[in-house]
Amino acid sequence: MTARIGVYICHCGTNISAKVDCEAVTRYAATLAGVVVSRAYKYMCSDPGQDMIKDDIKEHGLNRVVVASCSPRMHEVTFRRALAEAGLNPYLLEMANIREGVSWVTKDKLEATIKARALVRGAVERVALHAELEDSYVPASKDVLVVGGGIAGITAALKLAHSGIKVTLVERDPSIGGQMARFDKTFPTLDCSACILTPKMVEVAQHPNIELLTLAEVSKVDGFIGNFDVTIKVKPRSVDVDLCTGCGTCWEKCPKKVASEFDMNLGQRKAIYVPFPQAVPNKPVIDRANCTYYATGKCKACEILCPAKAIRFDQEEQVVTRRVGAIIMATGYELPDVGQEIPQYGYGRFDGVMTGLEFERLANASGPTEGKIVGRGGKEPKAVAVLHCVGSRDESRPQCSRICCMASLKTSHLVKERTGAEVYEFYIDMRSFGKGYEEFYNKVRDEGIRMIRGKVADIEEVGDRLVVKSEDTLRGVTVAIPVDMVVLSTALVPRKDAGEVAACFGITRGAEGFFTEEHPKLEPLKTATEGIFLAGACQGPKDIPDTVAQATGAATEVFVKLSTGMVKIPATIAAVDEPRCSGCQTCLTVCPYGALAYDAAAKVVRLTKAKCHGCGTCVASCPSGALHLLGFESHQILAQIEGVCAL
Amino acid sequence: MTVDAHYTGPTDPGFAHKVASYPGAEAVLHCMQCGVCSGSCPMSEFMPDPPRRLMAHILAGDRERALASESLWYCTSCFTCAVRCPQGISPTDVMFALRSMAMDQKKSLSTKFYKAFTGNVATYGRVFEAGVAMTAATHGGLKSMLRNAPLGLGLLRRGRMSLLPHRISGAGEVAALVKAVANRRVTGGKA
Amino acid sequence: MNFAYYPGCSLTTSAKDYDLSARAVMTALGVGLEEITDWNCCGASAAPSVDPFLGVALSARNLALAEANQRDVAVACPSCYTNLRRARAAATAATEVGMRARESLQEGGYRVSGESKVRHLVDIIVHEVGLGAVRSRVKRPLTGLMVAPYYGCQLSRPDGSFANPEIPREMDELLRALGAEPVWWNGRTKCCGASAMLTQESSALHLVDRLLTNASESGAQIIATACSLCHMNLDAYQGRVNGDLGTAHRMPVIYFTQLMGIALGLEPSRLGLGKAFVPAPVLDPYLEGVRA
Repeated sequence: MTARIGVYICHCGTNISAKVDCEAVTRYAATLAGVVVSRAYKYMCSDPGQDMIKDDIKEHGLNRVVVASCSPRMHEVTFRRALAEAGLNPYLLEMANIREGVSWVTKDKLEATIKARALVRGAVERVALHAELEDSYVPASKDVLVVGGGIAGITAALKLAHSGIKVTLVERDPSIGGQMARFDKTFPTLDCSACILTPKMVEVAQHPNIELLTLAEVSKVDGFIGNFDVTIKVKPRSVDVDLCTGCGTCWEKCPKKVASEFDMNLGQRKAIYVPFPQAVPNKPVIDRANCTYYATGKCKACEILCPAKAIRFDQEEQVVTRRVGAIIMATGYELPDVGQEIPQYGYGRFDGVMTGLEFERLANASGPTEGKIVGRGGKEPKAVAVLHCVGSRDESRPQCSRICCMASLKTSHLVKERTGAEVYEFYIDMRSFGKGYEEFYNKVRDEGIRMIRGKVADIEEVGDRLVVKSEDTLRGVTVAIPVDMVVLSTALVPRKDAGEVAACFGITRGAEGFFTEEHPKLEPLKTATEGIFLAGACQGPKDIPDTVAQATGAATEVFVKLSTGMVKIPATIAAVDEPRCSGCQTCLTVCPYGALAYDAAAKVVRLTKAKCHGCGTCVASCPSGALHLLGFESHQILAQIEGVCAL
Repeated sequence: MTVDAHYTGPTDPGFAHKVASYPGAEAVLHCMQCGVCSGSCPMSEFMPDPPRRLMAHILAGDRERALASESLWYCTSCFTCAVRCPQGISPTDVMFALRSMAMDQKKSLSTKFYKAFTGNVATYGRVFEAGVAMTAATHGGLKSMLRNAPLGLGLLRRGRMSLLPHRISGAGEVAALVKAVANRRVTGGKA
Repeated sequence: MNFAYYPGCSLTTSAKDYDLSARAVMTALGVGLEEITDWNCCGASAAPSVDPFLGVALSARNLALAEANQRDVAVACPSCYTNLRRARAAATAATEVGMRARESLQEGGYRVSGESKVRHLVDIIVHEVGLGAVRSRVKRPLTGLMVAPYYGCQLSRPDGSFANPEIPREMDELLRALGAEPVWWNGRTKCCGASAMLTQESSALHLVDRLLTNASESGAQIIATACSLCHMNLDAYQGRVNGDLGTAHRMPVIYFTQLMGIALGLEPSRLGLGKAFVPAPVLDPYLEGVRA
């Protein structure tokens, strides 16, 4: 086949032509071997520009096209489409980036023109060696798995369910609701958290498109986008949920008391329990580790007294599998071990020092004190300190946790409102970035909460009070303030097992341990693993509005990928030349996406196309040259290099 | 058109970077003025500029104010600030750096004391405690000497004071070491 | 177990009692202390104030001497401890400081590789000898003695060997092993003023006053310290605190090694007892029959 190449030099308005002599480059291109047509135009990406290419393909029988313009990331898709519309395989295109790569970064015009010529020549020599390539399509399941039943998971599940998608929502706790279920009020509206959350929880339980699995955890993930095979372990509730009426007799009569995890260990529950009154499912669960029956075989009060005969001590763990097309991670956050990280604040040593979540449980009417705010000695505090940046903006954790400034203001407000105590808020900066947030800051100050700009140095017990020391930096004096209660607005950190979870799903984590998005600016909801998306605080600390927005976005991303019921696999992925493969499996060790697998019977490596991102790492690693990257073959790249250097 | 003197810029724009070249002070440009250093410092209430404000002077390139501050001479090197600074700055080491830059700029009890101390070490290889204590005591004149006499006698009586300095064999080596360092000394100044 | 012993300048004179009791106790525990021949002053806080690189160089000479004998260094004075440790890190670092330090040392023919570690006596006793061994050697348990363990500053900061530098407990455990009752007090890691007692006396006196008050209010009968400067400020200057601030402190201060010596049944004359300014009659019951 003789190459018949069309070369198009774009002025890009004056973006390129201001530095590059486009006419000169066009004349130069016309002299290159294989070039049949060489033109310059002001805006190649415009309709007339594209028409020019299409007309030339037909008129001059072009079988290869070079467009020298902006970065392929801008318009490669545009020009490939133009080729396709003219009946040419879209992969017979090569772009030369003479904008971002030349005119935008070169000062001297002559130098810029020489560079542009070199890049064009490289592109011409390469494109002659391009082969026709085809995208492929695999059928995709439209079902979705949502991991985590907090506000993020609930939002994503509902949005998907409303659009007709079948969702399996997996939650490891006995109830959905997440951290938001623990809050008393939410900033800045001071909505009752449960009041805005529980209707959604109920909707999740009732929606026909949502399969809710609680006490459940994903143990294995196989497959790829459109075709994930997920294994889920469902722990036994020890209660027949179909018979149970939720009457509450069992937990009333249960003799065994245990620290309540939902109440941050500030209150107690029974061994058979419902974590909180609005739990969904509103059915009890037996904590077998703490139940007398499982330890000694005695008691059985719940079974004896249950009017519906719903207790099932010998219920077993179930293992279920689901085939889904996409997965949304919504596993949320937790708080750091403050006592260990910042011992000088006395958490865990001093009575009256608590975290923000612990405070929320005190303030909450369904909490361990029925909404009474108590400090040291279980008494109503006369003075309270609220501390910002506890474990954030620190040497060991440089992140700002984003929501704690607002949470601190909320805490201060609630304390003031309920107790009338003198409230001191110790802050470094006030990050009130959202809608209504700055107004809330002013409201809190109007209430007479004393704002002290200074990070607390340490807290001491002096007599029956806690003395909080810091510099009031705006005044330049040190203060030592006696209080009866300290609320630490702690960092938001990834779950302890985020590492294991990431490994199970095949996604990555950043330096701070949160799941990594595909691009920090432009793709905050995708992961580098096709088909797995992120929603909520598991990707990074955020407030409820941002979580809901992100979860809704994740649902949309899923829809975008799966709505056709097919998933596209781009043509520019790796390929294995099986006769050359020696089965050394070096490529397996370097593939970041797990796209390669060894077929022991055939003694060669096989590629799962849908998992391949076309990164080329395996190609570089193969000692036999058995792997190659379609569209980026060695001989193509070498020809390009020769072309660039030939000048 | 003259510029109102109140709005002049930093007198030494590179000052923060100079300070950052000292060990322990590398992160000084990250200071977010949180005040943990001041809040932790045992001498903060006595200092004219709490440690945090000193950092602000440094960041602002106000070399004059930083080096003239009496705060430098209050630091007891307790390192509480250093272990708590969220940006990993050691204000203790910043104090050392500033002291070394300011040492020749003023004559005070502190500068006399530190110079006497290191002078001792350069001469004898060890510090002659009684000698250095005398330097400090005499600075305040007769009143101070009388005030400190009982303490000195008390130590002497208890066998806790030597009236003569002890010179180590390697005193010459130590003197040479002191000189070698001085030759490489970072002045942090115009030199 | 043998260490290169670095007494530091104060232990040769004003803190002679610390030196005596340290040597006596370590010998009794089977820890060999070989004084570094011809050691020089570490520079305390004075050398770094003149030039931060000087502090490193002065301390590093001692490390070089210890390395020549292939011994780790045992230190009693926390200031020397901190300086030697920082010098060891700085002199071996791939930084400009390290380079300057090495160049200066090279001129004197010294080389520091970092082989010799720097250990404080408390660290050696707790982590090498072990509290069990200490407990088994106690002949005169200090039962009922309420001691305020005073860690001070440079034992745990900036980079000591305690598990929790903000809330160290090793000295408390050591005192418990001696049979004594360590008292929790807020001043346990607070600064005594150090050499500011000489240069900023009035401020330092306030710091000392607060420490003494807090120890006494927390129920302590005696303060145990591991630092010669803390001892000096709390003990020798206690009279001045009372005089200037109108207080009536009568809080005895003792080196932890002296308490150890008493509990281990060592000869009081070997422990430098009686060299403090504030008398300690609270110790009499434990010295009954032992005093010469």
